[in-house]
Amino acid sequence: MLNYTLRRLMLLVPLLFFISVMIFGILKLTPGDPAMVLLGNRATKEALELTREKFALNKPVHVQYIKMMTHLFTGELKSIYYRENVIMVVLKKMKPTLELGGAAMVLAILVSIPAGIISAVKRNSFFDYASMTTALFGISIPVFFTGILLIYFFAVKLRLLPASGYGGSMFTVDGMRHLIMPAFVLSFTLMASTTRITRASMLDVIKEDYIRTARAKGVREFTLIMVHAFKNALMPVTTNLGNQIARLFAGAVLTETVFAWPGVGRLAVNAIFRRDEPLVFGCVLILSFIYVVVNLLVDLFYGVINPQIRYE
Amino acid sequence: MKKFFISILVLLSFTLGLCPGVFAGEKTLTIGISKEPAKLNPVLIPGIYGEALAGNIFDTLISFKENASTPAPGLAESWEISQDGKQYTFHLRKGVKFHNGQPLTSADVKFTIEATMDPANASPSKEFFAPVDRVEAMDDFTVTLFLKDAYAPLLLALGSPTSGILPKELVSQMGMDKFDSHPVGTGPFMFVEWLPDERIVLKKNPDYFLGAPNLDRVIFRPVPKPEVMAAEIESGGIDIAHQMLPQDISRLAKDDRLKVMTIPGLGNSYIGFSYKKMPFADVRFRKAIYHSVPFDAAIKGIWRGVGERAYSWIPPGVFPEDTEYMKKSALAHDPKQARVYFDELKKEGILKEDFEFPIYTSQNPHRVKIATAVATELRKYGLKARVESLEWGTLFPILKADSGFYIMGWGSVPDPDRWTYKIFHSGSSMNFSMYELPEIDKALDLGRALVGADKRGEQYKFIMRKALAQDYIHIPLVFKSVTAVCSNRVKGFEPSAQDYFHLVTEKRNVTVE
Repeated sequence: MLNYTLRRLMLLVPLLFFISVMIFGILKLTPGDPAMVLLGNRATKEALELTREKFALNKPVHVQYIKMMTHLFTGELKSIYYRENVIMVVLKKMKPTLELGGAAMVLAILVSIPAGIISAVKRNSFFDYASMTTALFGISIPVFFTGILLIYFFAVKLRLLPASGYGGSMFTVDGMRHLIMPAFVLSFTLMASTTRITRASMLDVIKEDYIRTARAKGVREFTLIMVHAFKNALMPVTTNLGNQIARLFAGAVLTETVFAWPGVGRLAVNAIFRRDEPLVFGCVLILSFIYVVVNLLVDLFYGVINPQIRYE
Repeated sequence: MKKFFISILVLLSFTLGLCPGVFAGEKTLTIGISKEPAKLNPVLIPGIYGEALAGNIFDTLISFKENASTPAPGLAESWEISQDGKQYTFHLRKGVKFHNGQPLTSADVKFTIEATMDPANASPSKEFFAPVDRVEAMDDFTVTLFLKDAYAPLLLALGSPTSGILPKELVSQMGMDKFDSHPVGTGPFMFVEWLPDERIVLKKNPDYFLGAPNLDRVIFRPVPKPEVMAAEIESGGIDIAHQMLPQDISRLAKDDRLKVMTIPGLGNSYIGFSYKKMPFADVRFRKAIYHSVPFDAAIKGIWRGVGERAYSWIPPGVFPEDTEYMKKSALAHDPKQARVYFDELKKEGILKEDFEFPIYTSQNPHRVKIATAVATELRKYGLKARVESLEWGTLFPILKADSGFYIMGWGSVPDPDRWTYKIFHSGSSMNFSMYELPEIDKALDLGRALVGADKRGEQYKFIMRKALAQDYIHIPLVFKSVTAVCSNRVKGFEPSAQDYFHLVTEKRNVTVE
C-alpha cells in the first residue's frame, strides 16, 4: 500500500506539469489583455506598456511560462490584482470554501444516505417516490434558482437568516447563520446524486444470494441492511462522494456568487474576469492538486471498506 | 416543554443578530456595492467602483460632492486661475491632518499630482494631467500648477476622487502598491480593513476638518447579484443598495421601510458604427438602422424608469445644452425609408443579401436586451444580426480592432471635454468607431484649450451636430438614472449623479437611527 501511495504521488509530478501547460495554454489563448483590464479605459499607451513590462506580459510565451512556474515554486508568484503571493491569496479564501463545502458534504451525507437506504428497502413506497422526485428536482433545478428562492423565503419573508455574505467562522452564531442557506443549496445537488446512487447500489446488493441466505438464517433485518448490505453497497457511493468533494472546491462557484460568499470558487472566476493570469494559474493548479489528492485518498479508502482490494 | 423553550431561545439568538448597524452600540452604516473596487489608492484607481468609495477616505483640492458641475472648496479654501488659463494657484486650508496625524501641506499636493503624472506609477488618471508642465509649492499652504497650454477641464480633474491627496511621507515609505491596501487620507473616514470579496470597513475620523461624521463605522459589502442586492435591502442586511434591476426597484418602492431615490445620472448607452468598415461606413446604412428600429418603445420597455431616451451625447444639464436641436435631428421610426436605404445599398453592392454581422455588447442586461431587440427588428429587413454579449476583458480588444456594430455606454464628469474627447478624437483609445475627421479633432483640441464657456460651447455643439446629426456615427439611446434604495433608518443620504457614496459633505452628514 505504501508503494502504491508513493507511486501515485510520484505520478502527480507529470500530471501537474501537464495541467500547468494546459492552463497556461488556455490562458494565453483567451482573448483580452490583463494590462487593459487592470488599468481600465482611461489608461495611456505608455501606462499599458509599463504594466505589461512589470508583469512580464510582453515576453515570449515560453519565457512567461518558465517565469510563472519558477515563481510559483519559489513563492514569488504574485497576483496582479491583489499584489500578494498567489498561494497566500488562495489559502486565505480556502477557509470559507472549506466551511461551505464541509457543511454541504455533512448535510448531504446525513440526509441522502439514510434516504437512499430507506428508498431501496421500501422500494416503490410513498417514501421512495417522494425522495426520488426530490432528488430529480435537486439534479435539475439550477443552484441559482434554489438560492434566490431560499433567500426570498428565509431572508426577505421570514427574516430568519441573512440574505448573503460571510459571517466569520462557522463556529460562531453569526457565521453559522450565514452558512445555513448556501450550505443547503450546495448540498442539494450533492444530496440528489448521492441518494440515487445509494438507492441503486443498495438495490443491487439486496438481490444478492448472500443476503437471502443471511435472512434465511434469521439475521435481524436492521443488521442485515446496515451491516451486510450497506457495507457492500458503499463502494459506488464512496466513489461518487470522492468526486463530489473535489467538485465542492471548484464547483461552488455559483453558490458563492449568489450568496456573495468569499471563497475560492468566486476568487477563481473573478481572477478570470480580471485577467489576473498568475492568480488563475495558481488557483487552478492548487485546485487540481486537491482534486488529485482527494481522489488518491478515495482510492485508498476502498481498501478500508473492502479488504479484498489489493494495491499493486 | 423545556425543549420548546430551548428551541425558542436558540431561534431568538439567531434572529437577534439580524439587525445591521448594531455594532456594540456604534452607528454603523452598511452599503451594498455591486462590484468590489480594484484599488483604493486614488493614483491607481481605474474606474467607477473605486471612485465611488475613495471620497470617504480622501479629499481633493476642490470638491464636487454637493454639485457635480460647480466647484466648491475642498482641501483648498480658495484658488485663482491666471487670465491665460495656464496658471492655477490653490490656497490650502490650515490645520488639516491626515489620518496618521501628519499635517497636510503643499508638499503633499505637489507629491500627489506628480505621482499621478509619473509614468512609473502607470496611473490610469495620468492623461487628465497631461497639460500640466510643473507643480510648485510656493509656501507650506500655497501650491501652483503651471500648464503647457490652457486646459479647461483641469478643475474637474482635480475634483475627481482619483485626485485625492496622499500623504507624501507615508507613501514614500510604503510604496504606491502597499499604500493601496492601507490607504491613509484626510477624509471623513479612516480605513480599517479590506477583506476582498467580503467587506471594506471604515471608521470615523473624529478630527475631520468639516466636523466629525455622525456615523461611527461604514461597511461596504460587495453583493454581485442585483436580485440578491434587492433581497439584502429588503431583509435589512444592508442599509443602502444601488445598481438594481427595474423589476426589483418597482417592488421595493412599495415597501414602507424603504426609500427609493432616483436622480438623473451621468452615463449613456449608445449604438456605435464603424466609420471605416463597409457597410457600416456608409451613412445610409447607419440612417437605415436608425429608421428601422422603434427606439422609443424599445427603450421605454427595457429601461423602465432607470433611464431616459437620449437624443444627444451629453446629458441634459451638462454644458453645452443642445437637446432641442439634437432632438429635432433624431431620425424617427420609418420602416419605409429604412427599406429605401437598404435597397439602395444592395443595388450598389455595398450591402449583400442576407448580410450577417455580430452586434457586440457588454454584459449589461439592458444593453443585451436592446441589442436583441435591434437584431430581431433587423431580421425584417433581411439582415441577420446576432448578439455577442461579452465580458469586458474579451470585448475591449474586439472593440478596439474595429468591430463594425456595437452597443456600449459612456459616462463622465459634467464637462463636455471629458464626454467627447475620448470617444470622438481620432487618436483616442475609446474611439471604437474609428471616427476620424480633422475638423472634429481640431474642435476637440480647441474645446479643451479655450477658457471662455461660450467659445467652448460652440466647439462641442459643432462636434455633436456633425457626429450625431450628420454622420450618425452613433445612435444615442439612453441617459441612465441613478437609483439608490435606502432603509428608513438612514438619514441624510442622497445618491450622486455619478453613483458615488458621499456620506459627509459641507451640507450633509449621513447618520443612522
